[in-house]
Amino acid sequence: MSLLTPALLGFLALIPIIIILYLIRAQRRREPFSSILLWRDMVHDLEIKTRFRRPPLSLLLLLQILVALLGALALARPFWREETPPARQIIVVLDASASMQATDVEPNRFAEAKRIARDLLSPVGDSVEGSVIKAGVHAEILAAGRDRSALLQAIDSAGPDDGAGDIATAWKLAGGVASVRPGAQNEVILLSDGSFPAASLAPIPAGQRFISVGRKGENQAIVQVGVRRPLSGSAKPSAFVRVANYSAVAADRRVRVLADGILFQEQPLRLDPRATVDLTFEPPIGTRLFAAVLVGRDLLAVDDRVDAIVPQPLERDALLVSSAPEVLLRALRAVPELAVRTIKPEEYKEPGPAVIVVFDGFLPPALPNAPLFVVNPPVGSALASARFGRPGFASQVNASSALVSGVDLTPAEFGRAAKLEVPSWAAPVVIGPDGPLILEGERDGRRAVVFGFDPAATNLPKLLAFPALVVNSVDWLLAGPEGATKPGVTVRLPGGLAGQLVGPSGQSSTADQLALYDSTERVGRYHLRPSRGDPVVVFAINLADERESDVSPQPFSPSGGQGRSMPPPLPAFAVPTVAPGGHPEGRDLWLLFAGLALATLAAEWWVFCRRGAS
Amino acid sequence: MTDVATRLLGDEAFLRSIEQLALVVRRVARPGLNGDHRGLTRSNSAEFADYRRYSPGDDFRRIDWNLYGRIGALFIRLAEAREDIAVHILLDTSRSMDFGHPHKLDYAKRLAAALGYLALSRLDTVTVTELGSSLGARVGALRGKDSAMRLLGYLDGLSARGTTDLNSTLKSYAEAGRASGLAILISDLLAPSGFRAGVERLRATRLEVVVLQVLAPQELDPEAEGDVELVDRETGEIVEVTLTEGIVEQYRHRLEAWTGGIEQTCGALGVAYHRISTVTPIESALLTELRARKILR
Repeated sequence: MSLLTPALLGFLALIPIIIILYLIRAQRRREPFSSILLWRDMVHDLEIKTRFRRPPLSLLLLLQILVALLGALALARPFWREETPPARQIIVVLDASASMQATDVEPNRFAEAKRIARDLLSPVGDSVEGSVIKAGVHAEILAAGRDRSALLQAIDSAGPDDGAGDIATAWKLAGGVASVRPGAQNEVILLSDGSFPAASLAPIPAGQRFISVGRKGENQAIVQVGVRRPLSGSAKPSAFVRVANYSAVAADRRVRVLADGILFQEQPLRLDPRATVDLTFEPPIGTRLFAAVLVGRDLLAVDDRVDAIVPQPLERDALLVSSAPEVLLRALRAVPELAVRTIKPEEYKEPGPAVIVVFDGFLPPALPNAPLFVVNPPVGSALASARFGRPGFASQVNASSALVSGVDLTPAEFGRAAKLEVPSWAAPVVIGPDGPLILEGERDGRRAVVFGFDPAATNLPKLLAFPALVVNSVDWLLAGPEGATKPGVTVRLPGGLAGQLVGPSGQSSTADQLALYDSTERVGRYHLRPSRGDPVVVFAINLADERESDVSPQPFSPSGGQGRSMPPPLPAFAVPTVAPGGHPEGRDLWLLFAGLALATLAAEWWVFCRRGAS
Repeated sequence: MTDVATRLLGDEAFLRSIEQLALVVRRVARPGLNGDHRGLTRSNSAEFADYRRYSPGDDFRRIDWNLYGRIGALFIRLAEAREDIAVHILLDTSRSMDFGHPHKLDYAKRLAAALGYLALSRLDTVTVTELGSSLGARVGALRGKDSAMRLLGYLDGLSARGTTDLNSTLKSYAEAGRASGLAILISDLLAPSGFRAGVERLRATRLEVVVLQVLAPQELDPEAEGDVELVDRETGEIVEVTLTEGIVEQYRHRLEAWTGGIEQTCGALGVAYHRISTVTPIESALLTELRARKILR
């Protein structure tokens, strides 16, 4: 037996309190007696002279202690684990991806899937368990157990997301749920329109069924958007939009383009069957928010609009602190719109308006509160403890880092780099055979990049990789959030900002020192309004997913025939989780203990009344 | 009718039963009035006892002429002397008697009523006196069943008051010059100074004494538990006691020793003694227990 709320065993402290109350001499009740003649001589034995006394072992005391004990146990929720015979288990996976919002069935595919799921879970009861797993942009188990009403309530409260569904994770979750009931008749039922890669489904130890939801595929969508400033240096941005027609017939739509919410262009569009059209637009100078909308109705509305943030020209300054700045200065001058000012280390003092501070072969005792670019930190400083004994090369690169995006470091030789001490706020990006060579991180809300090598002592100045590495580093150091991304993706926000973040549907959350934001299930624009007067930060979430926009139902065949096939089920015994013979089930015993406590209390009251009457 | 009278007179079968009873008296008292107790001498009452030859001066009316016709000699019929006794019922009405379920004083009054009625029905003279801290009111001497209502009315009017001083009140009663007879003391005997001296004084005045101790079941077997303050009904004195099974058992032993001492004292003084619990029905007390003790026959 275990306890669900063991902390409430603290009520056992009532027992010593009861005993203490007995120890303390209570106010004696007066009893008239014919004569105390026979009692008087016994007084020396009977009269209690002290405040405390040995508690009499009375039935009332015992009953009161028992009531306190049973009551405390009931509050602690004793839980008896017992073996129950294997049960049948129905695991329903609801595809909650954006394509399930298609309206080819009334009112939409997800509502139809919920209706089917309710029917599938109707046998849930004493011997049949049910589970509901939502495969939205994140997979999650909504409910599980033998309480059918709880399962239905979870289904009712579920809704589709605006992004691609994480079917693979949901499928693994279903397998995990099935594996804890190896003796049960497990069945995983996937309710989906099939808009996911079939290969993503791993074998699971359960019977599998796929129920297709949806009938038609007539849908057009904006599947790509991009806005950039031309390399020519013009202030006028250019926007790129790709529109796709997933229908088997041609479609005539109109494209409406908005700049900062104001219509500036609208044009008709003829879309051939199963074809795409690329469009380019030039929003007016100064446009910050670009949007393109497919006018008219189709099966899926969520992919008929895209938003994008127009990159703004930045007035960027850098302060280079170096005694030999030539090599680094050349690379920094390759960064567009970056004004570099150079000073000697001995001239360094707390920087003024500099945006980026670049320390080359020098590190002050106190680091400035600014984006930091440290190159070749001196040995003995906080970042470098020694120098490697041999030349290094990039043996391991974190390809997901923006610093090495488009940079080929294969031919790079880093010379005898400094042995970097990785601070808690930093992570390695490039690692050599003896240790990290490049670090990135965020300290006190400001980003920092550390190159552990002296560029002049490497072959980097001769490689195109070096200016690219420096440009990437400066861009990353000064970057805001991504201009546009997909639903469910975690967005990195400028560090140190506190304020209110408002989503596209008006939902808001107050954030303090918000750095990462992951509630991006809905498409549209998100605004972070900093509380201390910094500029509003905007980022956009778009579906832009060809697989989701292609809402044609994808058939599944369980045996690998025509269409996509379900993975073969793993035998249940292959899952070494629980011993055969059943799964430990819990039985909450608080009601039993509460009943016993009440019965004991009633007995105590009866004894008390009986004594009072006699 | 009053409460005591109602209880006594309302049960005709009980009345008939106690009319068959008589108080056992070892030292029959007053000659003169024809009571219903056999005397030690012959008299001329109606009950035949023996013959004797006629001698001059005898009452001609007592000559047995039938015997003269048969044997030709004059004989006088002798009858057994029937003597009454003076029954003194001494009823303790101190506040210690105002206790218990059934109530001790009520029970004592009913007991006194039954014994008094029994005596009246035997043509004895009955006097009832209440004993408190001093001698109280009395009724009597009553004689004959016609006086029963007076007796019962008097008993009904009694209530508990005062403290108990048996030695003092019994001495006072003895010194008041009562004639010899039977004194029945009905009391709980819960007197701090005891009762021995008083009973000795009664004995000295040729009164035969019967002691009937009336105790309530709550005194014989206390049921209270826990911390109590026992308040003396007479003095108001308080004793703090924690009543447990062990303590109550200790009390019972003490009570037994105390009543055993009383019985020994009575035996030494030649006094009949009986302890009655108020849960004992009056009928059982009279018809069974007092007869078994040879206080009644």
